[in-house]
Amino acid sequence: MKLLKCHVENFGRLHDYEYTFTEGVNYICQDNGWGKSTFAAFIRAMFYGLDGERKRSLEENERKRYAPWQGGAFGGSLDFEVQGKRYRITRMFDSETPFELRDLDTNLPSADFSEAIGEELFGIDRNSFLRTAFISQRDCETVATDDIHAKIGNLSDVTDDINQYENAFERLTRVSNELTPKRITGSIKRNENEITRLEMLVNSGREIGTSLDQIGELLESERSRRESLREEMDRLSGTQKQVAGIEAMEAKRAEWSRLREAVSEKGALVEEARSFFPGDIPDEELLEQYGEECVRLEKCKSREESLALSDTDKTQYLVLKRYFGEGYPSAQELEEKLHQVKTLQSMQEEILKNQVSEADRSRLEALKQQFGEENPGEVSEKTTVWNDRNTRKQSLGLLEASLLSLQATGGGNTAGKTFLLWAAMGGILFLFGVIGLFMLPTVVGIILMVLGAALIVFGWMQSKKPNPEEELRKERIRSLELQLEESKGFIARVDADTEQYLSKHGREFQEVTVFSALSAILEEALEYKNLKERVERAGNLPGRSKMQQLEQSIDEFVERFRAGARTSSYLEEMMQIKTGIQTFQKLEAGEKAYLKQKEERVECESRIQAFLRSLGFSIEEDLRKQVETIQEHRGILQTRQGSLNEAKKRLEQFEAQNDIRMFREEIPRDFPSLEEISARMSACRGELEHCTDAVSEYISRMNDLGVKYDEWENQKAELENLREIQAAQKKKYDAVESAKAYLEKARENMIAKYAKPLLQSFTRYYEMITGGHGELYHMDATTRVTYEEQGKQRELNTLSAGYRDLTGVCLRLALVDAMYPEEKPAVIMDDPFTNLDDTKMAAGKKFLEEVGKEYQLLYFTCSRSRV
Amino acid sequence: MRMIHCADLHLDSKMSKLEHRSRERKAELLQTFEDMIAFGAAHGVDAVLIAGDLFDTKNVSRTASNAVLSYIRSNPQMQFYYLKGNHDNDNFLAEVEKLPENLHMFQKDWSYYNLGGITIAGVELCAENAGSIYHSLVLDTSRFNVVMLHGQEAEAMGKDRAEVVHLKSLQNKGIDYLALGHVHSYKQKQLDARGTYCYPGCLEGRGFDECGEHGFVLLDIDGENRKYTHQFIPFAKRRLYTVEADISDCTTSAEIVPCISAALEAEGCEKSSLVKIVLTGTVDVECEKDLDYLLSRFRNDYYFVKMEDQSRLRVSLEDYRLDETLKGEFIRLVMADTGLSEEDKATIIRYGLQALAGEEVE
Repeated sequence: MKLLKCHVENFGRLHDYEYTFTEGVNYICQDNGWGKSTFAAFIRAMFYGLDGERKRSLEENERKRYAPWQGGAFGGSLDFEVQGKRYRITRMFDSETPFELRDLDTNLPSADFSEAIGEELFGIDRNSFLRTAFISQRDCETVATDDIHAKIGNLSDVTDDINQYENAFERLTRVSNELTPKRITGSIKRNENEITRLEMLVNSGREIGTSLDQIGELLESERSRRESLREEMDRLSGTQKQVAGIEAMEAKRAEWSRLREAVSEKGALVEEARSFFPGDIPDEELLEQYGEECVRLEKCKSREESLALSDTDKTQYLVLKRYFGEGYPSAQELEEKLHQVKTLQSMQEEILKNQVSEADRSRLEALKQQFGEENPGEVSEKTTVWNDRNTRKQSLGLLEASLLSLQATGGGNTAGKTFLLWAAMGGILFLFGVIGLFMLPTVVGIILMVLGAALIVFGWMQSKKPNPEEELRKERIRSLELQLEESKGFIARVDADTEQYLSKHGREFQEVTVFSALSAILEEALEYKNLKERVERAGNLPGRSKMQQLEQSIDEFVERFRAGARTSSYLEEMMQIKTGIQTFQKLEAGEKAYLKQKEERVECESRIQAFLRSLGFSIEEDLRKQVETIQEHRGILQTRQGSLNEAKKRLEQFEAQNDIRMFREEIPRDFPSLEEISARMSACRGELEHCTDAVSEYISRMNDLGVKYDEWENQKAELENLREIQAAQKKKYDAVESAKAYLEKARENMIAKYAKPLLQSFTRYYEMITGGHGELYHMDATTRVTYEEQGKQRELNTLSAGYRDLTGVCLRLALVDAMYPEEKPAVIMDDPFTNLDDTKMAAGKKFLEEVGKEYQLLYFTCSRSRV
Repeated sequence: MRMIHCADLHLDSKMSKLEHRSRERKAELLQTFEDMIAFGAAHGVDAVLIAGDLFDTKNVSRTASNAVLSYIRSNPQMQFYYLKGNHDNDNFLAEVEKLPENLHMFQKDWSYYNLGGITIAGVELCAENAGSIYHSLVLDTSRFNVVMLHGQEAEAMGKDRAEVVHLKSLQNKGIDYLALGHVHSYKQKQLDARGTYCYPGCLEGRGFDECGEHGFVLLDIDGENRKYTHQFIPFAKRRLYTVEADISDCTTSAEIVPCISAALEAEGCEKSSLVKIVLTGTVDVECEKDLDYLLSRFRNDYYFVKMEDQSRLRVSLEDYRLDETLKGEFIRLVMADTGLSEEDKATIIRYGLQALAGEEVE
């Protein structure tokens, strides 16, 4: 392959830079900071694109690192020739189509290579490219990658398997690591630990099953013992029942005897209670009934005492009985009689009130002379008119004052004054006009004169206009004068009329006494009227005969029913008669009730006494107490009879339930006592409790052990399972380890096949640069180079920096030789000889010239001395 | 007289290898036992002989304990003769105050129960009585004698082996039917001129070492005439199968699938079955064989599916003799190692090739 030309659009600090490559060595000597490394990176990026685009570090991220300093399109193009065909790679890293390949001869896009042109062209990845055909000043040393090995072995075109070695080895290593027994992260190691733990648990738990069996046996033993104790309890219980039966029979015999005695005793008590009664035993209900009768008797006596009249009442009753015993007036009759009394009193009062004296008649005559046929209301009218006349007279002063006021405010000649003002001003102007005729231009004098005349005329016209306020004032003056005249006429007429009236009634007219005179006449008119009415009523009063009839009727009534001394008042007499009747009625009712109650009591006593006698008892004074005593004795007898019956019933029941014949038999005495049996049962019960507790405890322990046994069984199963897994994993681990070992060995065998030609090539280049002996260097199957010194192989890193760089460059070219036996790639050297001294540098230059014969070489440096 | 002879029910068995189905199967074991008793009740069975290993563990769950006692109590017309096996103990009765009247147990020495014209004798074997029980067995030869034992049949008497039934020592003892337990598959053979011995097998298969039919034995006994009929009743809810699929010459998982399908079809496995598919035959070392994929392919076809790869890898050295690649070199190196077994060589090569191909190493 041969590079032809490149154009850098923008790449790092490089901008619009173009370079045409020649065959052989292309020295690119520029100062530090020119961008040689950037240019080398550009060529690399043309083939492999930008590296580390996802890296954050600027050093690792080429997109960031080589972004154009001055902006603009990021990228460029590279022309190259391979196998006789010329191409142009164009990569614009910011463009949507970042890669383009054209055939330079046709200028048509070419599909001979894809975007991964580096890998396709050189058959190695970026990493491998950096380690062979791209030699930078910082990285002359190299190691062979899988790609390099594959390329060297010329195997990459036919198989990818050696490429997969690292992946395969890594995969096997991962599996091996996952399984490894050497580290805790390995499952075999973990399983071993777990197996050890489970083995300990399983071994330590082996006794659980035995313990479970032993406790099971103990439990069985305790359960058997418990069964025996229960049987013993049952047996004792049977004996206890037997003994208890004998004792029960004895107790029953005693009970039978006691019941019989009870019947006998209670029979005697019944006989004793029966002896109280001389005859038959009274019926309980009957006794109860007469007991109630006795209570009733007590009540009768009590009521009788309360109803009896006192001595005073009795005396009063006898007195009243004399008047009212044969009968007394009804309430209606009494009311009628009372009405008569009130009518009589009313008539007497009327006569008394309407009596007319002689003085009254003389006065009536005198007043009749004064008033004649005059209407009594006339004097009132006169008084009213007089009051009106006084009111009007009082308002005369006010009217006169108002009139004078209005007359005083009128009379001024306003129109004349106005005219005079305007006429004065007009006259002055007119005068100035006249004077002006002489002293001023004539026209001015005439104008002033005309203006003066005009003002005079205007003033005259103003004075001739009518005045409404003045008209109103005059109207009011006329009205007030009319009112004043009318009031004065009215007062004169009233005075004349009043004077005439007073004169008629004999009184003198004086303005200040008119009112009191009219009042006195009014009182006399009223007196006259009253006297006339009294005289008329006195003529209409009832006659004396009617009054006498009433008095006679009332007297007869009082004489008949009035007890005691008479009074002067009919009304009082009537009230006393009424009270007497009411008292008599009340006393008579009391007396009747008393007699009735007395009769009831006597009947009640008779009944009780008859009953007692029928029972054969003598009559005692206190009947109630006697009956209660009988009731009490009857109760005692009844109770005792009940007790006797109950005792007889119990005896009968007992005899019915028990065979009384056996009470006469002898009882066996060879059984243990109930106390003894009870004590033995108690002991058995205690043992049974202990036994039951032991059973419970064993069950509890068995349950606990059962859980542990379950766990133990699980652990055992888990252990067994884990052992199987472990065996399988160990087998797999051994096989994986073997596979790794065989795979590595196979790789070494493969590499060993091309290690020798590689070393020959290395030696040739080494001798070319150093002139020394390349046979001192050795190469192993992994292309690791060592050098021999003092009979011992040493690592290259023990060499000086200069030698390390030299050996690195030689190895790189040896690798390139091996990798590209036919189509040689361009070799890019980014100032790799900076560490060489002058002697070695001269050899280095020679080396470059020699290499340039076979390879197109791009040599970047900043020093002319290295060109 | 009608009897059921069952054994090795192993109730409460954990069956952890059945993974997600283990709990359900545990419940099914109990259910099948209940179904068997219901079968007995429906068919007029008078007695149930449980010849050991009713339970699987010394720690019996309360559920199993309560269920068994409930089944027994709710069938008072049936007599239950329960002889404990090597997996049993008394724990399930620990909290029982009083045993059901129709439950009859056995001890370390002979117990005899009469049921009509039948005598049922039994003893629980242990290290102490292993040698003595054969001499102490006394049977009335005029009756129909059933003897219950739990242990492995053996011709010779073993020392300190509790679970061994020495058949010869039981011959000519008047046994009509020797009801055994311990062996998990059905077996019936002649004991002597008079009697036979029988293992009913377990009621349900619990693992793939218990494939095939399982159930109990139904006996109709005429005690007076000492005659009986014997019938094995398959009763398991589910059946277990181990199906071998020959995948020889298959090169991919896709090619293996039809081989497995054909093998399953030939076996006639029901959908409710538990199936273990065993891959057999020889395949090329570079055969792509994904067991996870194959298992998922058949997992939903049956109640439970397990897969085991017993196929062998074939490596043809001739194929790689001239192969100049790393792979060829690798295979040649492994095959040249005489210290490795052929199986190890195949495994190592398989892992190496899987790694080179970028596949998971498994």
